[in-house]
Amino acid sequence: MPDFHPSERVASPQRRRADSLLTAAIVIVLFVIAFSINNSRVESTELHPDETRWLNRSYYLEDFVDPFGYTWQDYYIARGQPPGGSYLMGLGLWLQGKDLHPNGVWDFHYGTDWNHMSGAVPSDDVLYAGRRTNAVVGALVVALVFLIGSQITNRIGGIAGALFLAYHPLHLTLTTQALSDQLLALSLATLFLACLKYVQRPRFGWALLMGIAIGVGSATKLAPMALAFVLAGYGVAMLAWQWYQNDRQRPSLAEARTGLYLLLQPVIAGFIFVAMYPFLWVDPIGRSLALLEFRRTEMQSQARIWPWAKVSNPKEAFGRYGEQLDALASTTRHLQELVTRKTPFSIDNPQSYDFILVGIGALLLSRIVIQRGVWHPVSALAMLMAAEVGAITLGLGVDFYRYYLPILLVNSVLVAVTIGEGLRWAVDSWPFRATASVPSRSTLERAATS
Amino acid sequence: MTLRLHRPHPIPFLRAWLFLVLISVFGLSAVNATSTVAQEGPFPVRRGDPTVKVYDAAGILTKGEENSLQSDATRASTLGIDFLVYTRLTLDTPEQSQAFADRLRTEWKIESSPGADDGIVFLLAVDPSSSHASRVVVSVGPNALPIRQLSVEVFNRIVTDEMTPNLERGEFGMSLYYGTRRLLNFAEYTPPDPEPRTTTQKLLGGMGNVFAVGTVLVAIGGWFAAPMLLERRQTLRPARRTIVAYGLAVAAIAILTGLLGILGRSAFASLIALTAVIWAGGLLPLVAPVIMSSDPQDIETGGARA
Repeated sequence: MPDFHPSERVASPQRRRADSLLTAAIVIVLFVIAFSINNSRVESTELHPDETRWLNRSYYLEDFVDPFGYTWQDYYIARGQPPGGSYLMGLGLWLQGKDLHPNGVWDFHYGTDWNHMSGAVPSDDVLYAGRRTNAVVGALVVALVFLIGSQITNRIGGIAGALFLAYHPLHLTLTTQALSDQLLALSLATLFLACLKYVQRPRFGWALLMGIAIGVGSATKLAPMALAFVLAGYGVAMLAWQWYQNDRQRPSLAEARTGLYLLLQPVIAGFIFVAMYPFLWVDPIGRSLALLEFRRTEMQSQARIWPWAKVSNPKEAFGRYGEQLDALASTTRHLQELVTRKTPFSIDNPQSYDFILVGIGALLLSRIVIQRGVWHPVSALAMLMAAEVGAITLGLGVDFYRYYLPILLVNSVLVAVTIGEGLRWAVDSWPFRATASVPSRSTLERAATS
Repeated sequence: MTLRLHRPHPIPFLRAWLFLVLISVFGLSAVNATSTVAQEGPFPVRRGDPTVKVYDAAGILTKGEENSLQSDATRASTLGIDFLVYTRLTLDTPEQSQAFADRLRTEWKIESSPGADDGIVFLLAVDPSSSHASRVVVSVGPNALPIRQLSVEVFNRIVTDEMTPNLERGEFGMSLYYGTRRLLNFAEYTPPDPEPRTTTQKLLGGMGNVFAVGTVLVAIGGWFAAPMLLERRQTLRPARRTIVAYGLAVAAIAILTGLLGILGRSAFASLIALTAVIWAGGLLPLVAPVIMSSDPQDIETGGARA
């Protein structure tokens, strides 16, 4: 199985250093652009009651050092949400000099007026501090999308994917609300990048990072834990293939390392998940199952309270993606509206082309998977992204806009593939290709054929 | 248990006076009261349906407020709490109003289950002749409090700082909302007290603390001791085999410490164990290639020296 080592054997050290510096510079610029956009909207985004809940639980950060204390007893708040988002809010508030007990608990049995009167709504400065924390996280996600896209295709594709995400209305809303969804997106983006890097170059560090990303994601929203088992399954398949290829002899430890580290993913992710969640320490398995049951009943309850949001089956869930991520919120339409507002040019009746870009990207990615085989880094990434989309599609019980952020993340990567591969095809077709600055082959393709 | 409550300042009683006029004209009575000025007379008899928890004998609540308070009471019952809301026009002294509330609670059997004696009665005693004398009166069964983190002191503060000021402003419904909804908020959204540790847990926790100290010693001291024991030399760059042995030793004692800490509910032991596991299982494999000896002899012999 080839070690997909990116370009070390073909590029000089000076070239590699220049490449790294250029990549770092682009990452910083994209982060600054994304954070600037996010930060400019922190005060204008409408309050969502869930924000008050995440900010209310900021004290989780300081109460981690008391794992058997009040905070981690078995009751509604401890069971209601894993603590990842609360830690993030606590960290953000602490770094910005705010109190970690900013407000009471929003009671969804009553309206906004009562919750305002009863102290369940934080002050504006606390709310904005929480939102600014998420603005940073959202900008990091944008930067990671660039890195993922540039690994699959080229830097132009990576930039396109990053900007697609940065300007998507759903991302803009969620990155300027004090919720936990951006932390989930950050975990997933980290996982995707670590997976690419790991299959390229199977090192313990990348394997550890994958497990940590899944663990942190699970400690934010339970769903990512399933990806640990997807990776473990991939590892089992890899080992079985190696055994088969090795004339049914056991492969050496060095050969089997790639698959073995993948088998460790549920262990690493599970450890991180439990370690971050002291509520689970006294009964990790029992209380984890109770959490899953709680989320299931909560989703059913939400579907009863808001019947318009109920999603009856996976087919309907898939259909909602087009509505939420194209019809209602679209980067391409948003950009056309920006052009009309900010420039002398006017675009009448702006349309969304997001799903065209996403669809082409999915086809191109499938082509890469078929051409390169299932053990290629891009194939591993494609498997992970498909698993994440599948898990959301199967588990979607209510149509709340923030549940679509992981889908949007995957869409952004696919847009990167579309633009990057499209540009590469154009350059390949250009008669004066020798003078073009876009690489004729992707980073991974150069490594695979070197 | 009864709560002594603060007498409020004079408040506007427009609605109370209006009702006074109405009952004077029409002779209406919400319960078996004979007075048209204040509802004195025989002790009220409870209506048939025990699920009705709001009695606006004074007629000072709107229909919406009654319904909302009734919803609160229904929600409370699902949490194992039984409370009653009662309003009355009365000339009673504070002590008499308190006695009335206590009697309501006991005779109407306001409790979560027979014999529990854990019910709560919120009584708005409205004095039509003197606004100065109106008050919030709460009767709490001896087994009612604490409810999660709602102690007697906290409940007192709710009555004094939130219910009473609203009563002063003539916001009768809002005054009661602060009582019932704060109660529900504490019951549902505050944690229960941690269970007191058993003798066994204290013993295990103590052992965990001792092992935690041992874990720290092994983690720090072991780094220096391991090469001396396994390679018979002093070095800060041990061979791979030494690092593996060191890591396994730290992990093993950390896991044991963690188990003792969790079983014994010891935060110190648990957190030390967690730190040690992260070091041995996560960070050490990452830094090992950098810090371990690159001496070819060490790589070949695993650090074993003649």
